[in-house]
Amino acid sequence: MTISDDDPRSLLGAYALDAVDPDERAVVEQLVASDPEAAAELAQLAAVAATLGDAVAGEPPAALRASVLAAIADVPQLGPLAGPRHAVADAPAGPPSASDGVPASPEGPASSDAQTPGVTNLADRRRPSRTRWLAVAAAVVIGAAVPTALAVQQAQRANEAEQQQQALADLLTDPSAVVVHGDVTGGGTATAILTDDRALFSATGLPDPGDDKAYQLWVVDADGAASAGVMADDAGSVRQLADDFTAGSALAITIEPAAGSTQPTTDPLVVLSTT
Amino acid sequence: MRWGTLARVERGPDEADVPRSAESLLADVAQGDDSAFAVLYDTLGRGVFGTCLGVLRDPDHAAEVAQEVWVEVWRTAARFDAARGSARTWTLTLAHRRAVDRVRAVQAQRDRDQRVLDASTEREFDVVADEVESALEQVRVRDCLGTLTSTQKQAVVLAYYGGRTYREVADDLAAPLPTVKSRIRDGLLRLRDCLGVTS
Repeated sequence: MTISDDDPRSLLGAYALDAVDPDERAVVEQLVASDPEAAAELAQLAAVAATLGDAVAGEPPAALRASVLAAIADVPQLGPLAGPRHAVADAPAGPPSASDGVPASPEGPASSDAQTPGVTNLADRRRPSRTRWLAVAAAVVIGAAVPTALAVQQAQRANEAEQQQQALADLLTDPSAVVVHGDVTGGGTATAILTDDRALFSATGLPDPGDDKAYQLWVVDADGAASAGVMADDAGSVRQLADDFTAGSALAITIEPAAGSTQPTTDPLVVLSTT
Repeated sequence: MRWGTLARVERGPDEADVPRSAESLLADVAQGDDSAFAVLYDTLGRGVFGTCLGVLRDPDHAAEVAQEVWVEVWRTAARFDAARGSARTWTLTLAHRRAVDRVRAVQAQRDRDQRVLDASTEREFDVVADEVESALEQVRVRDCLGTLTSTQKQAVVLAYYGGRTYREVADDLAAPLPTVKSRIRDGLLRLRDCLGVTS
C-alpha cells in the first residue's frame, strides 16, 4: 500500500523505533487510538523492534537482579489507565519522558526505612511479598477505622487504597487466616491477622515507649520467644509482619531498648493467639 | 495461593519447568506480587539488558537504565494490555524508549556544553552496524537484517541501535525525510515477514 508522506501512517515505522519527535509521537498515538488497522500494523512493527533488542548478546550483571528487586520494594504502583483506552502506541504508559521519572533512588537499591530492616537482602526478598504485607499493614489501620494522619492520607490516594484493599482481600482468602484483637497493657489496642505460616501485627493508641525504648514484636511458641523485629512507632501506631510465624504460635509485644533485644527483657503488654 | 509460586523463585531461573507466560506474570505483578516480578525478571531480564546494551553500548550504563526500566515495569504493570501485544514486546519497547531517552539526554547535555561530541555517541553508521553485527547473538535476526536493502538496513540500524530520530538519520545519510521514513517502515515490514512476527 502506498501512502502519502503527510499521512501519519508513514510515521508508524519510525515511531516503533522511537525515532520520532515528541509532536509526531502524539500524532501517531492519536492515529492508532482511532484506527484499528494502524494499531495492528504498529503492534507488528513494535514486536519486530523488540526482537531487534532481544537479539543483542549480553548477560546482565548478576548484581542487577538483587538491586532491581530491592528497588521496587518502596515504589508504589500505578493503577490501570482510566478513560478511553489508547492503542498499542502508549502501551508503556505513555512517553517515559524525564517528567515521568521513576521515583527509584538512582543509586540503586532503594533505601529501606526502619520498618523494613534488611529489605535489600536478597534472601529476605525471597520471602513472601513484603511489599504486599506492608500494604496489608496499612490496610489494617484503615480497616480498624483509626483515622491517623497516615491512614487518612493513604485513604485519599485511591490507587494505593485499592491496592491495599486487594492485598487485604488476598490475605483474608488464606483459609487459615484468623483476625484477633486485644487490649494493650498501658493503653492502646492491638489487632493481628494470623495464618499458618505468617502473621501481621498492628496496634494503635500506644503510649510513647520512652526515650531510647521501642516496641518489639515476638513470635512465641513452646520453645520460647523469637524476635519478629523492633517496630517503628508512628504517633502511637505500629505494624509489623512476622514471617516466621507458625500455626499455634502467639504474637506478643514488649518494650525493649531501641536497638531491640534478643530475648524479651520485660513482661508482654499484649499476647495474641488463636487459642 | 499466590505464595505457591515462591518455591519456583527459590529454585532460580535455570529451572526448565517454569510454565508461566510473561503475560500472566505481569498480571500478578500489577497486583503487587513481587515474587511474580522476580520470575518475570528471570524471564525477560536478558532481553531488557540486551536492548539497553544495544543502544548504549556501555554495560554499566545499560545496567543503570535496565534498573530504571524494571522499576517502571513494576510501577506501570497495570497499564499493560494483552490485547495490544505481548508482555515481552511491551517490556522491551519500554526498555528501548528509556535507553534512547538516555542517549538523547547525554547528547543534549553535550550539545549544550558545546563540547566536541564524544565519538561513542556520535557513531557513524559503519561503526554502529559493525558493532551490532557482532553483538547479535540470534542468527535469525542477523540473517533477516541481511535481507533488507542496504539503505533500509542503514536506516533501521541507525534509528534502533543508534538511537537517532529519523530526521537525524536523514541528515546522516543526506537523504530526504520521506525517503527515510519509508525505508524504515518498509525495512521493518520486511523484517516482520522474514522473522514471521505476528504481533
